[in-house]
Amino acid sequence: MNEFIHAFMLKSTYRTNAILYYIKQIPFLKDILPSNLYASNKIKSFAKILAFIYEVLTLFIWKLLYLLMIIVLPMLLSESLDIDLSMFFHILFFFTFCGAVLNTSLLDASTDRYYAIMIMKMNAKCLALSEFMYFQGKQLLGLFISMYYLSKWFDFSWLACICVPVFVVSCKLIGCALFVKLDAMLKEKVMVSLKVAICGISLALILICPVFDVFVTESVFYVATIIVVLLAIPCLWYIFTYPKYDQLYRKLLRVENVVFDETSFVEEEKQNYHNKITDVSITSNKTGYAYLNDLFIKRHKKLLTRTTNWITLLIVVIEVALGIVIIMDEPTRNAFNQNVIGVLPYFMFVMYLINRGDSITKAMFINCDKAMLHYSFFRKGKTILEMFSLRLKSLVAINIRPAIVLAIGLSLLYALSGGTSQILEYVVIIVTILCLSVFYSVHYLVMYYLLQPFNEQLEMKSPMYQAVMGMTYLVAYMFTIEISSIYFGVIVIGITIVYCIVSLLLVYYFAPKTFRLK
Amino acid sequence: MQVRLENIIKNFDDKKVLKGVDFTFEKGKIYGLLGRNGAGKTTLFNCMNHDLECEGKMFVIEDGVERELVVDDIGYVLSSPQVPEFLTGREFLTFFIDINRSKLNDVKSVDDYFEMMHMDADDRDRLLKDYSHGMKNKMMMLIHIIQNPNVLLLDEPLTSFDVVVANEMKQLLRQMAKDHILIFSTHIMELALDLCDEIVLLKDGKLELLDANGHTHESFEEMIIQKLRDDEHE
Repeated sequence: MNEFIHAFMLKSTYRTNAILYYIKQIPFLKDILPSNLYASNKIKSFAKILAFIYEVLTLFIWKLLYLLMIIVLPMLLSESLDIDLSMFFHILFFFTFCGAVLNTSLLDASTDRYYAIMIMKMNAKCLALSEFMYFQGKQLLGLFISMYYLSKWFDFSWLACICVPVFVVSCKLIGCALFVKLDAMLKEKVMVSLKVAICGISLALILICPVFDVFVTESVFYVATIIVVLLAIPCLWYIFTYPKYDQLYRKLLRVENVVFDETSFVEEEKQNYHNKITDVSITSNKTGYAYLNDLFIKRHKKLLTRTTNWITLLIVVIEVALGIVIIMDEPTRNAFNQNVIGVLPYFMFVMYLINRGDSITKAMFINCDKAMLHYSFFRKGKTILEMFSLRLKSLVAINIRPAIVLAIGLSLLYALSGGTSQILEYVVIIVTILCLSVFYSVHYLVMYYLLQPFNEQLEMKSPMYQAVMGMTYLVAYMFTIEISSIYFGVIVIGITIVYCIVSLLLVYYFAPKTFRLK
Repeated sequence: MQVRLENIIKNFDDKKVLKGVDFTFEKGKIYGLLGRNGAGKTTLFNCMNHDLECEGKMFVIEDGVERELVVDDIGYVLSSPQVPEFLTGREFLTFFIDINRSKLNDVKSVDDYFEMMHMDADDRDRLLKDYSHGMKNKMMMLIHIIQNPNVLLLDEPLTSFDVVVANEMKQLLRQMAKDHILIFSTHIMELALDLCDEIVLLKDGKLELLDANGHTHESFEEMIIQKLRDDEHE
């Protein structure tokens, strides 16, 4: 018990400090707060309260969302709006197997566990079991609260409210016992494959069973609950008497398994980006910064042009297929003809999805700027602007390819489906899509130059950048509506042109100051 | 030529790191900068390299004429080498010479520079991402040697080299010191005493020049340690 309290204190200290860290990241607030924040008891108590609230909220919020997802999933699959609880137990049953394999707490290699066991030499067994029981308790209570709450909205019996948590917790217990037992016998790779296989089969069974008219109905679920509870009892005994937790954790908590902070991820990601550099045989006959940029683009073919080429090809395939359908099938032809202008706003989102600006700017940083910004000649205002304009041209050129294919293809399909007498509509389709492509290219590069969000360890140091990127997604997604008006296109064209001009001006005035290592 | 720092102050929030640094560096000398962990050596380098903003004045005095210290005056060799991974050694060098051609005097051929650094012919056309730590360091050093800035800041630069290369580098640095100011930050006392003409302590947020006159090697070392031990940490 003592071990558990110590471990819990340790964990809550991490969480408190993490909350303090995030509070410090908020603009304005960080200027008001004292710099010795971590030593201030009042603020610490406040963070502790937040940590406690977080603990209470996480008790059931995720579970509630999880159960809701299981309710909603069949509706999404069948595209009907009727709530159908008959599939609830079926899906939950198989999902729980995945959960029993993936989300068990007992065999997790976490940072706080590493510190507790490897550094502070806490007793592995006491710690593991007390944490596991706490985790299971949270599961039981959280699921019960969630089920009880849901039973007010949906037609769940009190038996379901009790059986669902019991079933989940028992399955997790069996899963843990199984993997503790197997851990000594199997190699790590085999264990991972086994876990993947169990999850894969479970997920497949959700869909395969109904084909043969086999369902896990509510009553079957209750019987299954009784069976797993009976199976869980010896498992519980096994877990509590298992003597070798110490060895188990020594194996599990090897430094390479534990994600300490972002750095190990970062190291991996850095390697990833370095591996994207292709062979030396590609050269360039340009000079100066154009030479640097040209080689950068050519040597990152894998990352840049190849992906875009695949996207372009995919668009062509879809367009050809659509073309054939349009020729063959009259209702599709008419529907296409009537809706093509209306779905133009969707391309705000489509163009967002196919733009590679995000990963290209990241590659620019990791493979080039992270090093080059250390050289004074590269940080001069003139150089920064020169590189910016070279890069903007390359980025637009890469992203415009699929956009051209999409724009022209769409216009041709429109013509094929009967077209319109208004030539302007074709122009708007083409120009809107091209504008959107340029818009996203400009957007990513401008944000990168104005907010340069990484530090040398590749940690995100700019909440602003994250906020902007989140907003970009949200705004793009919001446009997945149908506006049956040609004016949408005209407005988009206008806005993108204004945006580009404004942001380029901002880069011109501010980038020499903002484009630095954090 | 001299570089003069006047009342350089740098604070991070409430923590005062540099508390009014006053110092004059002179051409032709290698300065060994010693200080405890966290004394502010890197901060001082970052300020001189214009990476960090600070209070105070930094200027260059040349033939009796005073002017502000600018970015171009400084070359900063970091302990962890930074090179663009997607270029080969030769391409990086070509690019660098290309964009700085107007500023460089007496440009040699790329291969001459590689010869100077004793870099194998096979290595010159390999991608920098495949270079070893020591070789990347050589590359970064080479860039700064070509750039020929008035002041070269070196942050623990020799630690990643093997003994042979370290020795080559020492010779090279001694040669460079003739018409440059070299400031060398290290924790290795032997290296500092061996290579540097002057030992400067960064202590209590200020720079202090030590006088080795009247000291034996041992007693000088003893004095340095004693002085550093006295450095109070907040």
